[in-house]
Amino acid sequence: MATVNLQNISKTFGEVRALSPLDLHVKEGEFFSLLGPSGCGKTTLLRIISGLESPSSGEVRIDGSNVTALSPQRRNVGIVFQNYALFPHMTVFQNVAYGLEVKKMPGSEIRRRVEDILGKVHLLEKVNTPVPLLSGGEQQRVAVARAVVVEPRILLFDEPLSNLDHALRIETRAEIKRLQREVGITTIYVTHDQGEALALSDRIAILSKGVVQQIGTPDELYFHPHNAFTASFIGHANLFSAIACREYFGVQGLTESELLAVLPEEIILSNNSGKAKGKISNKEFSGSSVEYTIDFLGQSVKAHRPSSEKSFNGEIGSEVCLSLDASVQRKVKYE
Amino acid sequence: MSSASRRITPISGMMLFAVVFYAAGYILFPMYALVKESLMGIGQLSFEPYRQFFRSSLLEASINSISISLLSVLGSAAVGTFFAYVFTFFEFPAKSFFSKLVLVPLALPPLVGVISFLFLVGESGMLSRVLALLSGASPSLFTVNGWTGIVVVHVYSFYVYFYLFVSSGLSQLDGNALDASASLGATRARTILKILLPMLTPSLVGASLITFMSSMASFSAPFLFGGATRYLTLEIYAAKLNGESSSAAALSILLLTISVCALFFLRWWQAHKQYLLSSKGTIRVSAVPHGKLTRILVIFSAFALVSLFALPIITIVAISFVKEGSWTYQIFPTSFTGKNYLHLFEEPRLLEPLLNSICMALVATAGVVCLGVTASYLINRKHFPGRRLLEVILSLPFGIPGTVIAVGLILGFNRPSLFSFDSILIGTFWIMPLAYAVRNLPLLYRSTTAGFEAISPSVYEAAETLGSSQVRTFRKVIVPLLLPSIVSGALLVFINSAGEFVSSILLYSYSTKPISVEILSQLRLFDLGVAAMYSTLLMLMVLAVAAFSNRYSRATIAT
Repeated sequence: MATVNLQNISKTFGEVRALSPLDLHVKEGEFFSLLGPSGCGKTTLLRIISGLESPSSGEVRIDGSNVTALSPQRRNVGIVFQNYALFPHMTVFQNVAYGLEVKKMPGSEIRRRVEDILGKVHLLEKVNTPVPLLSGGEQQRVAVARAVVVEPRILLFDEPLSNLDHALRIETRAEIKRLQREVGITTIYVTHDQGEALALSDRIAILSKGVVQQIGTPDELYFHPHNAFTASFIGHANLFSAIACREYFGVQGLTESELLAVLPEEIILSNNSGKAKGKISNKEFSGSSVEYTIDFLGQSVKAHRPSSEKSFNGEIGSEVCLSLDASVQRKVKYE
Repeated sequence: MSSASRRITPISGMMLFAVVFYAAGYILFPMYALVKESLMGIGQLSFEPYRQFFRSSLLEASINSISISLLSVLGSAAVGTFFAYVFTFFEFPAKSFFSKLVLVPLALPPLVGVISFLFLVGESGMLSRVLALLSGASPSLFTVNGWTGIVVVHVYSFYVYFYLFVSSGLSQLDGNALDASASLGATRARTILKILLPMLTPSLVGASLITFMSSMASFSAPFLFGGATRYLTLEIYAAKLNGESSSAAALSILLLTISVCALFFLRWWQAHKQYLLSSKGTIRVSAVPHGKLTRILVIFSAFALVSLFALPIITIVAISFVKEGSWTYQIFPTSFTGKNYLHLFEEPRLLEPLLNSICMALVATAGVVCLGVTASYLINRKHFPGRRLLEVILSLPFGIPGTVIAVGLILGFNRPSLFSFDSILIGTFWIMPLAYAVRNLPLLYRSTTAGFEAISPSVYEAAETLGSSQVRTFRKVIVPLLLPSIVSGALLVFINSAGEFVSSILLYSYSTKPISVEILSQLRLFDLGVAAMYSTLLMLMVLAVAAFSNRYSRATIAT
């Protein structure tokens, strides 16, 4: 259990600026996600926290003490890598025990702890299996066990689910959440999957091009994004200019540097005649909702309607009238 | 690919016959001749040739061969692994240039490498004399010969195996595993010892076995550098020259057994000990961080070593310009001339060995390409009984020392037989191209087979479902896809054949003297300039072929 404080952290590789100076505060026991598209600097930030990379400027503080100059060996930080990074020449037991052996713990204590953690990740029966013989999901759990067993002060995940198939991803995601609750460890989780971040996190930092866009709870980021990037990345929101809002939707009061962010489920479709006319270019049935893509003023607008809604039914190619829920007043900055 | 297209047709049946005829006639039959000569050489069954193994001189040769080979493995491992480590984990100026320089010994025909060392640190070597002058000690302190000489030359010639194997092992290694170890609190030493080394074991074992086999088979180094050191390959050569065929045969079988055992162990190891976990992690230079002082020390010693390794080549090229008879007691040659090269065109006698070698290498390469591609096609794409056995037999010569192959061919073809079409091959033009072909076919077979394995079976299936006939599929789909592997294999075969020395020296006749044997003759006549000139030409040939091969493979990838 520990807090993590980043002050004025930045990183440049040669000429390339990977991270602009940023501050970040992660609370004790928190599940904190770094979310952004690939190349946004989130993995670099994670490696700086772990000590595998040193920052070009700034300080890393764990539990208040400055660890910036400390090597990864001495930070007591657990990492779960994207490709698991298991030691291929060892068994499950040897992999998990490695960190404990480094600490020169007595053998009986090592055995007790390894078996305890393997029980928690449901791998007790595979204890002596060489890791190359495990499935992807099992390897993933060994990686988590290996990182957790040494009781690190913080736990770092670098896109741990991206090598798993969809069903396994959902299942493992729940496992990770459960384990994190049980152990109560401060966790920083890197991902490019906004669904994963929303489902797991207490708070999320959105990164783009090495700059923190916004930090907040999943709810805040989804319903109250500060800028266009967050709105479209988290909620796949449609962005309308001030002119379009005034002319077509009767929404006033946007300045030139502002956009209106409208979530797909907030767009109302009808066959009435109205000002805002568009043409359905695609329609996908996804069970609980029907997802329309509409050509509107050269913009591709996404609208999700509950599939139980019978009042509207449009086919691909047909004209449709768009309107907004009167309560939508979500103004965001133009990047 | 459908099972129908795997069946043997009349055409592929004829191809199969040719391959089996080759395997039986030119690989198995010479070995049979060896066994027969070793047991029946004196007209009746006798184990006398085997009993003499326990005579002190031969026992000494065996022990020397094995011990020197083990030392060569250790030395090559130290140097090659060091370079691989430095070039993977450190950044320094001119890195790509130096990384090419490290590969230089690959481009040296074995004989040329040995000769260059002779010029440098031999009895009157330049480097030895310079060092003696600088330190005031006697030059003999800095000359190497006997055991040390052989091991030094071996390390120089074979460290590249370790460099290549370990580099490729490191490049496939998951760098995150090293990071994981560090984050779990392990020190750098522990990470290297417990994680890095075990993960590299497959590469290290592979390189060790190949180095061991190459050292056991080594002939040029003990021949020119060994002084009075007894070596198995030399004993075979001496026995053959003395007309003791049956003891040459028995010794050949001893060496053959050791080498083939190593080969099979290598095969078994490669098949069973590869780690299945192939996560495509990339290694970062920062993966194993080093202190500044270590960095400077390590990079400096790498620079020094690499430069030292370039010295032999510079020496040979320089000596090729030395005027005949002008360099005797001086440390460095004093007068230089381009005459050695000009003579090449003025005196047909000098040009002849070069043309002989090129001609014989071309014949060997043509034969190897025809047979090797056919064999690879049959074994990879057809079903017939004994497929695996045929593959093993065809690859066998890879593990057989050149000396043994030559003795086998001599004993097999010094009288008419079915496989020599009822004539005597020894003393004719054909015996040397045959030896080159037998020695090098495994190379081409392997590169072509790698090409076959890279073609996904669905490619054949796609061609078949599009209505393409088998012949058409072969011509329009398989051959174009395989061409890069065939060409690179063929170039390698050509280079190896053109500079071949080990079996040539046993097989050549005066009318078909190859360049390598001519180098030796010139050396014996103390015509060092001409010997160096020939060596330089061989190196240029290798360079030209390597450059072409590089450009060619890049061009084919681009299309």
